[in-house]
Amino acid sequence: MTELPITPEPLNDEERATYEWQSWVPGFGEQGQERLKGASVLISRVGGLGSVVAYELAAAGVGKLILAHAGNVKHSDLNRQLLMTHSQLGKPRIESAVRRLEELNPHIELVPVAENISEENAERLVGEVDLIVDCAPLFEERFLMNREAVRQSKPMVECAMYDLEAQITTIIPGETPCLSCLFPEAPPAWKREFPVFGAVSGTVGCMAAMETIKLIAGLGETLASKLLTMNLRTMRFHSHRISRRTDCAICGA
Amino acid sequence: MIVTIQCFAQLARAAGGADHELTLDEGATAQEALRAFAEAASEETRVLLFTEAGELQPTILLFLDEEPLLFSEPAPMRERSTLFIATPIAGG
Repeated sequence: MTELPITPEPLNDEERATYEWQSWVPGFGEQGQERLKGASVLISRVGGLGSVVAYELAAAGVGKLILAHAGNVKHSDLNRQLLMTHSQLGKPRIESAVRRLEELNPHIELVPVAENISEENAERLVGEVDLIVDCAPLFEERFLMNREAVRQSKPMVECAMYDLEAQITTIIPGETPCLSCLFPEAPPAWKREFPVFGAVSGTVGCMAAMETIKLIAGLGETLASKLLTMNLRTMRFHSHRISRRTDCAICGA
Repeated sequence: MIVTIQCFAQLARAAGGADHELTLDEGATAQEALRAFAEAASEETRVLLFTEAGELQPTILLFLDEEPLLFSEPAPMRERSTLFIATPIAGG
């Protein structure tokens, strides 16, 4: 696995104690934790997927999280967007997310952005981090993130869910298929709202967090060039090999 | 021979379930299997799979026994092969 250019940050005694259990993981250790502390991650939307990704990365001690999400908390968010609470209904989602994450880990840097990814902010936000986790509901946002990830050679963990099914892959520009290799255009029939349980977004969100940790720490094998699909109705998991498109308009494989 | 069409996400919902068994002639290709499946399926399913011109939607991913498959390259199926068809999904 290609090592990301991250400058490790030394730990203090409190951090050593906080992350003790994960530092026992073979191949991770204090060096891995120092890399997490020195890393920065952009999470595009902290909804059903992104809430869980952010929560796990904050718990694991990733040094800086940039969270991009517009809008206010609605009742229909609360079955899966675990950083949103009843007490925050009608208030900005990003405030609710930051409040919950600060309760969990007050020692990491949180950068709230009360906007979704757009042409106006994508280049700048991607430029401020080491890697990205794409949790957005709209393909326009996803394609923007993908384009910027490829332009700036930043890895992107790509996760998605629907009903009791989910999928995840890890995009490493120049090495693996990008999102546009998989889907060269927006799907004609995708709807912004769809059936899903929070346990489904939570499952794949945890996997996305683990992929992110592995990429930062150089731990284990990632889903580079593999698409993991899961059906939680039947508990069938498939790891499909995926290939770059030679005619991809974005990564030009 | 009997093969399985396995639908993912939106497609499974449109097709009334994930798994669909098909009986095909020996030597039939995955492309023929997909056409046969679509012809017997609902209109919603057909629209997800094919354009009005009869071309495969460019956002469809195909995997034959876990390996990626290009619709433009005919691939023979074997007894008990599985053709996995994925439509794009996102977050929310």
